[in-house]
Order: sequence, then C-alpha cells, then structure tokens
Amino acid sequence: MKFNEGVNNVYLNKPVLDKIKKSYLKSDPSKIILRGFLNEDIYQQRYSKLKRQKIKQIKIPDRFSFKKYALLQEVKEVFDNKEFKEFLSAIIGKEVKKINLEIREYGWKDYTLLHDSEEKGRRVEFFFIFAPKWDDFYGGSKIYEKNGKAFVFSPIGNSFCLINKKKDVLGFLQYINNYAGSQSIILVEGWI
Amino acid sequence: MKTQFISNYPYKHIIISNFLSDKKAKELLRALKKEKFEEKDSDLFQFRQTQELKYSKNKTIREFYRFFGSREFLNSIGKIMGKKLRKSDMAGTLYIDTDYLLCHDDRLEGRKIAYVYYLSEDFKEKDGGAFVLFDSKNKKVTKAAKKYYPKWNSLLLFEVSKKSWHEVEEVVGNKKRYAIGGWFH
Repeated sequence: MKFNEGVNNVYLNKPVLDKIKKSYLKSDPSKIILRGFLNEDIYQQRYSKLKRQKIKQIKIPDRFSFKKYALLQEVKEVFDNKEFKEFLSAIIGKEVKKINLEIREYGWKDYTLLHDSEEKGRRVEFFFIFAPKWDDFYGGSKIYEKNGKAFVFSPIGNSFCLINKKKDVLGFLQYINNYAGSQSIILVEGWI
Repeated sequence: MKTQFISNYPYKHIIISNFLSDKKAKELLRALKKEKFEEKDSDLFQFRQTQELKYSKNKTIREFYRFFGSREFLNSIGKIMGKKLRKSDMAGTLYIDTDYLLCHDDRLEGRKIAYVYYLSEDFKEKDGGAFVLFDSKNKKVTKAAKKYYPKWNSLLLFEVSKKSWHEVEEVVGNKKRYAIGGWFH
C-alpha cells in the first residue's frame, strides 16, 4: 500500500496542503496537528496488527521507560516511502531525504524525560498516535518546551503531529498514571 | 548509626525511626497541614510543595526549622555522615493520588546530605509512594535496588553523590503522603 492510498484524501488536496504549510510555518516553534490522518479502515487494521506484536520493555530510569516494537512493514509502507517524504517536504518546505522511525508503546508508569543527547540531530520530529479513548488526566501527552513555554499534544488516536525541533525545543512524554489502568498508547515516532 | 549509614546499599543512607516523640510529630503534622501547598510539575515530577519553611508563620514549624539548622543538630548529623555541615533548607511536600517524582540524583551545588522526614500514616505496597534507591554502574543508573515505604515519624538521610539515584513511586489511592524535606549544605 502506498502512503497516498492510506492517508485521508483531504490531506492530499493541494489548497488544504498549502494551508497546512502556512499554519506550520507561521507557528513558533513550527508545528501542526492533523486529526483523522489515515483512512479509518487503514488506521484500525494497522492498530490491530500492532497490538498483536511481541514487544520488549525498555527502561533507563533517568531517561525513559516504554515498550519497543519491531518496525512493522505495514507501518513502514505508510511512514517511510517516497510519497510520505513528498508530503512532509510540501509542509516543511524542504526536501526530505531520510526518515528515522521507531514504534513505542506507553502504558502505566511509562515516560520519557527531557534529555539533550536523546534529541540531538532531530531537526524535525513527527509522531502518529494509535490510542483508545483516552483522558488527558491519565498523562501520556507529548510536551515540547521552548524558553519555559510548553506546547502540549494530547494522545488522540489517528492524529499526526509534526514539530520543528531547532532553536532549543526539547520534548518529553508525560508520565502515565494509574488511571490509565491496562490501557496504553502506541506512537510511531519519526525524525528527519 | 555511622557504620549503618556507610555500609547501607546501594549508597550511603540511613532511616531513623521514631525521630520525634509521637506527640511532637502529631503537632508538627497538624501545623504542616495548615501550610499552603502549591502544585509543581515538570517532565520529572508532579507533587505539591510549601514555601521554604523558614518563612512559615507557624510557631511549631519555625521551631522545627530552627532545630534542624541548629549547630548542635548539624554537628550530630555531620558526625554520623562524616561531613562538615553548615546549614539546612526545608520545605513541606505532599503527594496525593497520581503524584510522583522520577529518577534523579539530587546533585546541585552545595548539597551534601538530603533528608526526608515522613509525617504520613504508614504506606503499604498498594498505596505506592515508596522512596526507591537505584543501583548504578560506571556512573550510569541501572536498576531499583531498595524501596522504603513512608513510615510515620521516620527520618531518611542519604549522601548526595554521583550514585544517589532515587525516585518517589506514584501514589495510588486516597492516602496523603506528607513529609518535610530538604538538604544539608
């Protein structure tokens, strides 16, 4: 499957894409959230497939705690191909040559902390969210900080978020508390 | 106590039970509850904290603050820890349901010994709120090595060093985790 077949058609519309680019470049730091990013059936298929994967808990206490997935072909074909690179280029206004991808699951007691070395070399970061019905009170929001100001991306399923990390923007995933219970969120995290 | 402090794993620390008389501890808790707690949050923590307690208007709190900063007490603690201590700072903390403090080492200019004086009713595993000490290797934190659940009227002291990695587990449920803490410099 190509990216163009999986993404919500509205985001392939030239005037819409121009508006997204304008909004992205106008904000400081440059950022955008696109809701209902994939076609619903593609989103649900990928979500079900991911939930069946074997995963490994990874924890470095002073840096992060999450479960790491192997890079599924079904995820790569959406977020690491020529069409997706062109889509990103159209928003950020620069050619995208290489994409780095990771799939992580965050549940109760998981988090990432602000860490310079972790973020080094990530000029533009994006993440796509697979999530059940989620309450912000559970935690799990992706928060970026610049000069003491915070920008919060709530974990809403089927959302695509993009942010420019230059000029001292650092991000972390807020600790997920006991109200999440056995629920978790899965993030396809990428950077260029 | 000195031997215990030095030999405790994974880094130098000690817990002193029944630190004050029960009556004094209860009086202090009553006073602490009247202080204003402000919510603090960052990537590393979410909990509530008072102002520096030397500014408290409450007589009982100020007395406790003066006691901690007295030459006599600094010398006694310094003897156990093998350090020359000059002064202490102090604030009240409150952790309620979902509050936590993730893994860090407390290192900051001048901090020699960290302390936490617990004024909450005893916590059990299901309540969370444990103070967790981490092991480290080659200056890198590895795994949780020891846990202490808050125990009424007990004082925890540990040496601030490259090894002093610790966290406060998330509090789960309705218990309130009151404590007074700070550092000896």
